[in-house]
This record gives sequence, structure tokens and C-alpha cells, in this order.
Amino acid sequence: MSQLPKGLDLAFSVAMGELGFCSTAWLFVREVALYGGEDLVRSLRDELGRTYAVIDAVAADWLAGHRAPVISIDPFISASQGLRKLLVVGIEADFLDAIVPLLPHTEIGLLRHSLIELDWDRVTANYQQRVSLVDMASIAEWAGNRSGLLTFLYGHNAHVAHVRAAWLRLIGQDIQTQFRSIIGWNVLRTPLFMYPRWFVETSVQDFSELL
Amino acid sequence: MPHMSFHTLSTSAIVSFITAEPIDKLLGHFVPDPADRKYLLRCLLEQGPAHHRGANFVLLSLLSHVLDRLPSATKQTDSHAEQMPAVSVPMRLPPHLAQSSPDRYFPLQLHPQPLHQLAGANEQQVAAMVDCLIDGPPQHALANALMVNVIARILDALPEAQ
Repeated sequence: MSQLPKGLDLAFSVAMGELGFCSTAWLFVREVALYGGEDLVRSLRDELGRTYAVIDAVAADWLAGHRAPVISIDPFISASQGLRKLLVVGIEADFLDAIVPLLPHTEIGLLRHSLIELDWDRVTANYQQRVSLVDMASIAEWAGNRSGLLTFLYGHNAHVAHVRAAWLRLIGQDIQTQFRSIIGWNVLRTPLFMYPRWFVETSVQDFSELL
Repeated sequence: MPHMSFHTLSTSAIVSFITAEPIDKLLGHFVPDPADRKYLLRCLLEQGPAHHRGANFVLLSLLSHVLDRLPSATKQTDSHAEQMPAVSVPMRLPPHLAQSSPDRYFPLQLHPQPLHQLAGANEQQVAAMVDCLIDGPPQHALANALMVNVIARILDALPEAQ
């Protein structure tokens, strides 16, 4: 019988919408580790890892001795140098929390597009009016020679990256030349081991900057 | 050279001869900011059908060779051609958003001086020529603008026709 708290998978499915797959996975792995140590982290990985491949990856990271995601700020600052607007596709709270305060002169938008229902106002409330919501119909208003797109990658190799489906809804050939920088920021240390059922593959050629 | 159909060439065969360096060097005469050049290079060499990317590379590289053989052209910073008002190349956006803010132009301007040599004092014709050159997909419009700029420098460096 599972030692994991009941309803953990449901809680994860709600939290991942508002915090992001990776940030939620780290939160849950840490809490589970506090509650039941290494054995319970192994159970979490075993029981939820197939449904949520990022839990599998993050739990493996934790079991390998890591205690937090790698959030490398310098490459991101370099990639976003000179941008007046940054449109973010997909939420990763740990990463957004780190970069939003560092971009005081950059207008930041968050694409209002998710696979699951979520409270968008609650998401943006975390950023003290620094992040505005952008609907698919208004994307072109964010285009410009000082505009950038950012999405989070869930592992990549030399050819393909795993991204949210929202990225494919957005990154047509027209969009690729309407933004000066197209940034893909990998949030995992290693490529996904489990089938990436919440993600889609895209070409790494989509990105002008790969972090 | 034996006859060979175009279509026996693979896409990778086309892409393999494209390198950014010569075009970056050429852009450097007109666009000082490396980040701007990186953006333009992506539009010129990494967008659109493979044969357009290849054609852009070939034509712009050849023009770069011509410019290199005219040292006075590569050093011109007060070129006659570049003293006239330049035209920004607009991004290809939905019409209601296009050209509504300075951000919505590519960081490359077309210097229209050579077009005056074709159209004389007919400003309307020059405007129509400019429109032809900067309309269309970015890989065309930007290559057109860059080619006109380079040709302007070359013409400036050469003696007037007798």
C-alpha cells in the first residue's frame, strides 16, 4: 500500500498549472522528503513518475543529491539584453520569480494558454503587476525589434526539445521573424527518462538562444 | 559540367554551404549592434525555403567580395548614398499593427540613393521601387535592402560613367 499522502497526484495536477511542472515537482519532492525521506521520494517517483515525467526527473535529481533546480541567471540576462518586451509562454514559478525583479525596464507578458484550467489572476498576483496576461489574439502586439519570446524546455538534445503544446500554437514561421530573440530555457538537468506525456517535441532550431 | 537536375540536390547540400560569418561581416557595414545583426542573420539565412537561404548567402557573399575589392567602399562612413533619408524595413505584421511603432521595423534601413539613378527626380517612382524592395517575406525584403545598400557603396566608389 502506498505510503504517499492521499490525493497527492490531484494536488500536483492543480499546483503544476499555477507554478509549472518543474517548480511544482521540486516543491513536492522536498515536502515528501521532509515527510518520509529517501524512501518516500522513491515511492513518489515510482507512483507518479509515469504520469508526470518531470516528477520522475526531479525525484531522480533529488536522489542524486541535488536539492534545487539549476537557475542560471547570467546566461538569461545576456540573452535578454536590450529587450523592451518579453512574452513568456508557460509558467515556471521558480524561474520567473528569479528573473522578473531583474528586468525592471522590460514589459513582461504571460501567454494565457494552458492545458488545464487555472486561476490566471492568482498567477499574476504573485508579480505585483509586473506581469500582464496576453491572449493568443494579441501576440502580434508584442512583436518588435526589441521583443523576445521565452519558453521553458523540459530537456533537449541537439535536435529536439520538449515544450508545452502552447509553444507550437504560437511559434509559426511568421512569429519567428517578428521577435528579435527566441529564448528556450532548459529547466531540467537531464533529458526526460519517462514518456513526456504533457509535452510536445519541437526543433531546437526554433530558438535563437538556448539556455 | 554534366547536366544535373536541381532536384537531385538534398536540402542538407544547400544548407551545408551557408555560413553566417561573411554575411555578418557585410551587415557590419550598416548595422553596428551585434545583437541586431544576429537577428537579421537569422531572418536572412535561417528562415524561409532552403533555396532562398542559399540564394541570399550566395548573392550577399559575392557582393561582399566586390566590396572587399573596393577598399574605399568598405571604409566609407560618410557615403553620399547614406546621406539621404533611409527607409526602414517593416516587419511583416497584421496590417492593423504594422508600422505603428518604431519597434515594428527590422534593424536595417534601405538607402535609396541608387534608385534615384534609375528614376531620376521622379519621387513617386522611387517610392514604388522602395515598396517593391521592402515588401514580402523578411528573407526577401531584408536581402533586397542589404543588396541595395551594398550596391550604393559600390556605385559611390566607382567612377561616373562617361
